[in-house]
Amino acid sequence: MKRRRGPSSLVALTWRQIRTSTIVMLLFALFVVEAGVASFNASGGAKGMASLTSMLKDPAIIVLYGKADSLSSGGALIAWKMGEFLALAVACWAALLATRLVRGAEDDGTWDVVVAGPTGRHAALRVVTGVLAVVGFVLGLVLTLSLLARHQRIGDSVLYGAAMTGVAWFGSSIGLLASQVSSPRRSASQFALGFIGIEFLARMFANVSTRAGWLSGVTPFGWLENVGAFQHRDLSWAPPLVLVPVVVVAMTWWLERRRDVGVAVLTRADRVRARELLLVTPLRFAWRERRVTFFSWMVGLSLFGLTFGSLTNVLVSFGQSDPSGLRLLTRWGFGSMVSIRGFMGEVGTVAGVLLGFFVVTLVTVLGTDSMSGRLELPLSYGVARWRWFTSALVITVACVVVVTLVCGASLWIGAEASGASMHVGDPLRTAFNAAGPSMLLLGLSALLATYFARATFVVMAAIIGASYLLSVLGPALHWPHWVVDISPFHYLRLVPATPPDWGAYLVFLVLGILGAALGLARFTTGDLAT
Amino acid sequence: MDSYAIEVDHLSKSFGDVMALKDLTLQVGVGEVVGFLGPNGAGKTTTLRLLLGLLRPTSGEARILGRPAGSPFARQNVAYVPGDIALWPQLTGRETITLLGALHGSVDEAYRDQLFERFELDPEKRIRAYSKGNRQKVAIIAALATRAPVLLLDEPTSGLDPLMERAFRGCITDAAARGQSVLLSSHMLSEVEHLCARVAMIRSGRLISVADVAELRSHVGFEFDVVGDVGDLSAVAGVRRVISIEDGVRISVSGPPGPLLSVLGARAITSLRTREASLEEIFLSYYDGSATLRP
Repeated sequence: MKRRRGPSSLVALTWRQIRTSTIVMLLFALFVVEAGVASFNASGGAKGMASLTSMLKDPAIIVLYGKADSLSSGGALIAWKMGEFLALAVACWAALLATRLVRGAEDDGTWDVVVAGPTGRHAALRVVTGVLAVVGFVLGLVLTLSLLARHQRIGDSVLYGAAMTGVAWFGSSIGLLASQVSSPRRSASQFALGFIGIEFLARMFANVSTRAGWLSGVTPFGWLENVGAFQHRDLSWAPPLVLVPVVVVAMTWWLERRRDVGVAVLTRADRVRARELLLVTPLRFAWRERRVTFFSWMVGLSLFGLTFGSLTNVLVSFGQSDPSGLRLLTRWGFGSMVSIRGFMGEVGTVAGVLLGFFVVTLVTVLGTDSMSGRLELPLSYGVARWRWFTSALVITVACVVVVTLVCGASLWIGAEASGASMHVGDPLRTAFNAAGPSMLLLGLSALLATYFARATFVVMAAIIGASYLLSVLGPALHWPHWVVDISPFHYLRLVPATPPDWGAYLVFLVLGILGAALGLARFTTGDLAT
Repeated sequence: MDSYAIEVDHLSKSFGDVMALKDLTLQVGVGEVVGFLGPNGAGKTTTLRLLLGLLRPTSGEARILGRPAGSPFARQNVAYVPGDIALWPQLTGRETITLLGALHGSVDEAYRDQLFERFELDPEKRIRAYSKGNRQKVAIIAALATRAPVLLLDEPTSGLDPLMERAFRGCITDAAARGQSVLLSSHMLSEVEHLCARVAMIRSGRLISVADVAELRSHVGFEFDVVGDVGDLSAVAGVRRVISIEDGVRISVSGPPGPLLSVLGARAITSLRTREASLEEIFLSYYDGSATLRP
């Protein structure tokens, strides 16, 4: 009889569950390096970047991108302009992998099957931890090798890759800890992502206030910045990137021994009074299913609006006062940031990406319910499939409208607070213009949810991320028009500085409706996917 | 029977190259409880999902109360208990039953509350806190509380303890008495034997037989282990086989044993022991393909 050791089988199983998203993240990291170096070269290299020196000292820029002394290499540009956001993406991705592997498996009962065998629950958690550690290491290695392949300095490339490994380990450890503390998986993921979000805000706050500077010493984003790859190199900040994840993992293992499998340390009451108001129609239930996501995103986009609104004055002043900086911004496609309305337009592009992710998150619920088998009972209980499907889309549209409104209003409040006077209608027009591509993304994700429910979020996230980078980097790097034209974000005009592209809106709307209609046809006439 | 609650007419379903169901024809009368038996992967759940309109037939058709399966009328007259229950973990039992009742459009609330007691379910607990058996109870109560004319039940008692199984049987008996029709897929042969007037047996996607349980019983055989001189029994009605055993012979009989007993009474026998083959043994012979049912 062929025998296989339990831990090696578990390693194979764990890797199989995360390999797709790991490969996507590795490709994304490669793309970031490639785009960063190409952007550096297209901007005139170190000489061209010298014009940004004064901008690097601007408080608003430091808050956004972090500290940098100079941008003397492609690696420095990557570490400064993209580094913090890449780190945020890596930490969130690693945390989500951990909650999926541990809390997700405990929720659906597959963990029971795994740990009931000779491997045992403690060893199984150690195996998962080990796989996540290796994945984080591989990410750092790939970053290092890709930087070296683009002729960046060896020491800095190794340091940057190693620091990003530390960030991935931090994310994984927080995800593992959240899986012990909170249940179900969605709650554990929110717990982990919320903590990472607070850590990111702490870094921003540390950079804006001298009195709060110590905060950069308690967040991985601060450690990454202080390590100073491609800048000043300070290895004294490297140990926390390793030690903190180790301590958090030790806490995780300690907690794991003090709880039952399937039960988190913090549990909500299992016995509660029924609230039936939102259960009586598919439309109301669609809202009930999505309301937590809606409120979370509303808070997030409000903070986004307030943050960027409050930066309006300083960033616009910088563009107006520094001609060389303006030239570089213009080359990068941000030349319109010399006016308040132009700046609003630029912010709108980022808001469009966030609203796109929001739409996809809401629509994905449809596919998740279907794949988990939860739709089997409701759809056999008299409710028409078209009602279930359209209820999900109607609620999604309503949520997007409200969140867009809130985002626009918070942009206005932030701008007013920073002294950048503008009419309230301007940021609202910015926000609603930004929601244009969401019409297309809604239809596309609704279609995907009915054909490839399991892959909807990953595929749509990849489409949105690639489309955004295409719209930002494509023109700066003089990529062919037909390539740049693929991105829906490329058609976002800088509203209110320029009028919206109504033609593009019409195309988004028609394609969105077409995608939704095809999804509806599939959902109503095809076999119910499980 | 003039009208049927469930009609399946030459129904086939394929998933890619795999033919899950082949030319299935079956009827369930109004107020009838029909057992649906077959080994794992035989096509029972596929048949039920086709009747619910969750799957689209490759060929043939299925009707509920004369209307196409999956049509609004059919859906409003069907309630379903799936074999593999997936529910929203954050909802309570009561909320889940309310949701399903609201989607169905009709709920007998008094009966629902009665069912909570009969099945000893605490409805205020979240689904995630229920055991498998309690989640099964939620689905059963939701289905029964609709008072739907047609009940499609896919291994409904898996996970229930014997007391709850008894409660379930009582509910199904009541439902049939009220005129509700039931198609019951189950591996609990004693349950099928107790509840069903007829059984349909399916194997490898094909219906191999539909028979009255009473008819099956008539085919139930007896075996007699006899010590002594039994003589020639070849002409005795019902005797199928006579084989030698350690201290005598074993006589297999189908149908009533009276003729054999009359003959044996006149012979010089010193010992007689008898054993009735159970309905379960007959079912199992169909499961493993070693038998075919007589028409």
